[in-house]
Amino acid sequence: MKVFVTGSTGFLGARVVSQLCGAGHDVTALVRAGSDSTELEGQGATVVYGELENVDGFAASLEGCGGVIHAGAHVQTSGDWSVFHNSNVLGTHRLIEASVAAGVRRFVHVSSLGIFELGRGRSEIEVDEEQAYDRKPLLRGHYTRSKIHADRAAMAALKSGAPVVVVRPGVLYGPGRPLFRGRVSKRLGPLRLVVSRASYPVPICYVENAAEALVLAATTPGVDGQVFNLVDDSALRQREYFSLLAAAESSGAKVVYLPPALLLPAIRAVAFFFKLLKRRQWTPAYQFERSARNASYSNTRAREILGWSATVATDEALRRSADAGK
Amino acid sequence: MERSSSTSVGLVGAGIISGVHGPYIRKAGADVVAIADADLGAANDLADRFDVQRTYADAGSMLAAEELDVVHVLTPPHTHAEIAVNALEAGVHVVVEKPAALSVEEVNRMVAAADKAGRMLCVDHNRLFDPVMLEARRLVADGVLGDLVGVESYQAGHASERAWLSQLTGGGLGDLLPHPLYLQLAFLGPVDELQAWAFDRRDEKGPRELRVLMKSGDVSGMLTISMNAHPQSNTLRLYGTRMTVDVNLNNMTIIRRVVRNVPKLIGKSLPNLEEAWQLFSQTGRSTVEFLTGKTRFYPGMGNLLSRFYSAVDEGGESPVSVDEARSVVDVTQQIWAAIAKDGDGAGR
Repeated sequence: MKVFVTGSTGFLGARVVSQLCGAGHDVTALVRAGSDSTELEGQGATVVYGELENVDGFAASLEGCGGVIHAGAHVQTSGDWSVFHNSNVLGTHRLIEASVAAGVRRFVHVSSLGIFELGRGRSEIEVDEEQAYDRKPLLRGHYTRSKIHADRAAMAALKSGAPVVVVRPGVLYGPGRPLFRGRVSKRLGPLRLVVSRASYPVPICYVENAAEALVLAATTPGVDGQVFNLVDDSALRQREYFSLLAAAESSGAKVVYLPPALLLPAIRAVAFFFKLLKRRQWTPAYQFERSARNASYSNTRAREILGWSATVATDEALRRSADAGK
Repeated sequence: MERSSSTSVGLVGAGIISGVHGPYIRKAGADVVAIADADLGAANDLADRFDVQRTYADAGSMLAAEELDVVHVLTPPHTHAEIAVNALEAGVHVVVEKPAALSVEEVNRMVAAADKAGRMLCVDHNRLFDPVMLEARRLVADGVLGDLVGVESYQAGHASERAWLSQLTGGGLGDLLPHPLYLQLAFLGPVDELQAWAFDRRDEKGPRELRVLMKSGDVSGMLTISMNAHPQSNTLRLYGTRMTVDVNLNNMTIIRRVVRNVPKLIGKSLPNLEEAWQLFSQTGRSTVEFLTGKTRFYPGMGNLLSRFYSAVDEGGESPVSVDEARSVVDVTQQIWAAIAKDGDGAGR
């Protein structure tokens, strides 16, 4: 099948291209002018230069494609909202429109598990594919806010009957990226302080496993209109994760869990004075409350409907990632 | 999470007024589930504020994709008819911002679509439902005011800068006209005769002063809109055979004046004191209501939408009839036709 991939030089997109090429698919990779495309071409992908801000500029290349995997996005921690909006929100909207117009039979939108509302408190929240979006997107930074808006655009197209599949992976890791060490954590000599509880879930996804899910989402018949949350192992808890991590890194740091409830009063007090003085919300407080939530995500749909499973198990995935970092 | 079975609402248009509709829709017990706007960024910004799950770049896609019960058409007036007809044909009730449309022909198409679909078409004549106007209407309906002799509206204000004002006959005046006009027509009924003047064209955006004189049977209507006079003001006066009522729509007060059979000396001061007391007590009450959040801006819209959504749930009548929607557009057309006939000045 001819597959068009955006974000093909990115952390996830590059793996998608390799897997597609490896499986004998005919890959067209969207690349920003100036990016290094030698590796893509070496794998046999056809390179098209263009940018998500200007879908019309490359829309002709969508003709004849059976699938589109939209793994590209403007990923930065700073910059103007308009850049995120044009690239991630309007880019997604127009790319879906152009794909439908070009007769593409499957559009896979890569979203994120970070877009959801998690509420407050200590009780466990089970987040499924129908969970509402974060109610305070303005406190989430431009990137996450734009991913929420992009997900809305994809869901709107999906509801309109476009052959869209939305995949929302958890925290991606793998060679080339620092390993996940808790959302809020700090190394202190022989100790690693992690703000969480040992029993809280770890919603991570190995990048090769996520890429496999995207390829399945693009090639499996009959899954149009499906939405998949994606984590390697729904049952993975902090305690287990950090012992696997210690084994992979052969590091002896002792993990100490700081219950979020212990720090919340102090954080809320700072947030209160910040609001009093600056007259706006202190965003780290909100992000802290979110990251300290006991939220679990299920991969049941991806397993049952896509036939996906985490091919690379967490211990092996961590070892590969740790080895690559040495 | 969308697991409720309550009334599902879609907004078309994500402009300033959409931000007012949102909370009142929720207050009426319905859910805004989707927003459509050609400016997807504006739709998303509003969706962020109101916790709405999906946004569309056009109304057609939203109607096709969502299972809506109600659509609010909050786009510029010249786009109302097409969107409303499509929505009604899709089997949803429609709330449309004022004016319902630009011509009677357009309103008739909307009404025909509503009749055919068996759905409500409700134009947002929200000022009719401001608490002070509800009280004024009650005084007339219950005969407290006696027989109505005349209605006067005075509005001094400016129209907000909007790209679509040029699509509207009369420009800024055309944008300001619907509110005072529907208030007048609610008391006048069918207009037999009409004179209108539009003048002061010191800039290219159209006239800045409008006067309309109407007659309906034995009742007269006078309407003044000024884009020059200050301060901003918005009042309605009802003259009856037994009572005169002064409604201040900006400050939300309603002053009743009645005949007092008292000695002449007291007769000079008593009405003033009565008026002062009414102003004082009502100002106190509305201040408290604002401070405690009981009243918000556009309270009439809250009342109108609460009645509308009760009608959706229980199968009642729309709080604003299609005849009211039609007559406002009809008289608006007559006003501008009269002005046009007379060239640059008065019209008859």
